[in-house]
Amino acid sequence: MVSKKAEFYLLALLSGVFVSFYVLMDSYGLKALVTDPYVYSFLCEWIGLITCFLYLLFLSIPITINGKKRCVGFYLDPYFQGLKIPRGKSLQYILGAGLVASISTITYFIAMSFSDPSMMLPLMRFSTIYLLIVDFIREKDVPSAIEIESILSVTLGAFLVTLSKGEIDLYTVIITLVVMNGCFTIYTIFMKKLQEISENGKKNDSLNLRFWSLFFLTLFLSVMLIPFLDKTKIEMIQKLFFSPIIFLFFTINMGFAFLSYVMYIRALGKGKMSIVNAIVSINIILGIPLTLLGVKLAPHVFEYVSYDVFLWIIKIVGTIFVIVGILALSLSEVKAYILLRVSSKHASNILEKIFRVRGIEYVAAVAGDYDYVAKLRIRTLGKTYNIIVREIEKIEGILQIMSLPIVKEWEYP
Amino acid sequence: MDKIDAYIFIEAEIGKSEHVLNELRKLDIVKSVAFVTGMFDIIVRVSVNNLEELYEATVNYIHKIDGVKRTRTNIIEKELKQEG
Repeated sequence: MVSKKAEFYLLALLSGVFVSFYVLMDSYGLKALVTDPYVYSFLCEWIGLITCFLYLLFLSIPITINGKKRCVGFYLDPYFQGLKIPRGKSLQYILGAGLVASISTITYFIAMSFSDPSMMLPLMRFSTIYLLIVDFIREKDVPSAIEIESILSVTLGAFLVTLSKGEIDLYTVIITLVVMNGCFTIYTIFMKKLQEISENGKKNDSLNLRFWSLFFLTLFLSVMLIPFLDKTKIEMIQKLFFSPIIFLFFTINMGFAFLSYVMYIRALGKGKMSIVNAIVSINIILGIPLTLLGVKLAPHVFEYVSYDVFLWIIKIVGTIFVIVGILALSLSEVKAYILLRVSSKHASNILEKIFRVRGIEYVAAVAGDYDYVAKLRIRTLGKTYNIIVREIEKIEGILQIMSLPIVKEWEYP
Repeated sequence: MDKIDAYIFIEAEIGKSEHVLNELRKLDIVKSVAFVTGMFDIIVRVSVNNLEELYEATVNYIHKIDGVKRTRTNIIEKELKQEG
């Protein structure tokens, strides 16, 4: 049985791995198959949407697991119960996510057409910094030194790994940093929100979220592309759309994108946005062997790759920064049980009040020696003290607080 | 029929907590075990079908584990959990 923590890190890591696969394919595709970024993005998203729909149909096939009726998609996301049309608040957020994703997708393909994956991967990761700021605003929490340290280590490491000798075009950097990462940050916030709200008591699952956000992304993207598509480009799309090689290429490419987004969205439901993004940065490490593989398979496409030893040393130093940052993040976590006794005249909603204290992930009213048992998850023990003293003590009716830091724990399904 | 969940706080004798822990992990009704520092040594969460089963588990199993000094059982009445 995989522990919750391991599941969270595994999801984010796998998402990162799949991102590097599709970025590598895009860089090949844009140089060797379809050189026009507008035509490329149009083909990519439409073929991606069709195949994503087919994947979902396949994943909706009912099966029986341990005597319970499920879908095949249960293995990808336990909350998945077949294709469903989003409604109400969910629909608003999915529309918003589709809109910002379409803008960031266009900027991604335009920037990609005149740069390479070694430059794109770190630029894509810049949103981690934005999300770090958003996370701290959302949680009304002062970041712990270890969090800032690790996330900076990962992000700066990522920049080092992808240093290349090529000329960096300032215009590309600015639009990717501001427009692409800005839109991606908003997309991530919307996806996080979508994980938190539920329609008719049912949680939104990552497979439906991916499909519907891709659906709206493709619609918005197509509308935005209209002014850029002249007669020759439309003819090109008509010709390429029915080419089996192109279709197969985008099916695989968007298959990786599908998996990476599903895992990304699931991970977002389990932890802080900035930490998910920091872990996704692992793909930059993978970028090195993948780029070398690209050189082996298609030397004419990947001719820019340098063999400078100095550059490779810097890349390795960057890799170490990334690994150390992620390890530090995952290891620096403290959990504690908090046992509480309250006075008999306490307010009735004390359970909810305790639950609202940041860092509290679980609270139970119990009959026995104590009145409440809560579980706290936090970065450092120092913070634990602050939370207990400042916030729980402030709740009216609390008589006694006992905290028991957890040294090690096991969970069973 | 709803299940009954409870937390059992265990104080173990010095030097025997590892043994207690291993014995507890063999128990079917145990949902989670945590080693903690402070007034208690081990916190176990159990899930049973009825109070009779809880009595059986505590009196006839947990209390008989060599090294268990004292237990405190707290039955969960209501809980709030953060998803994920």
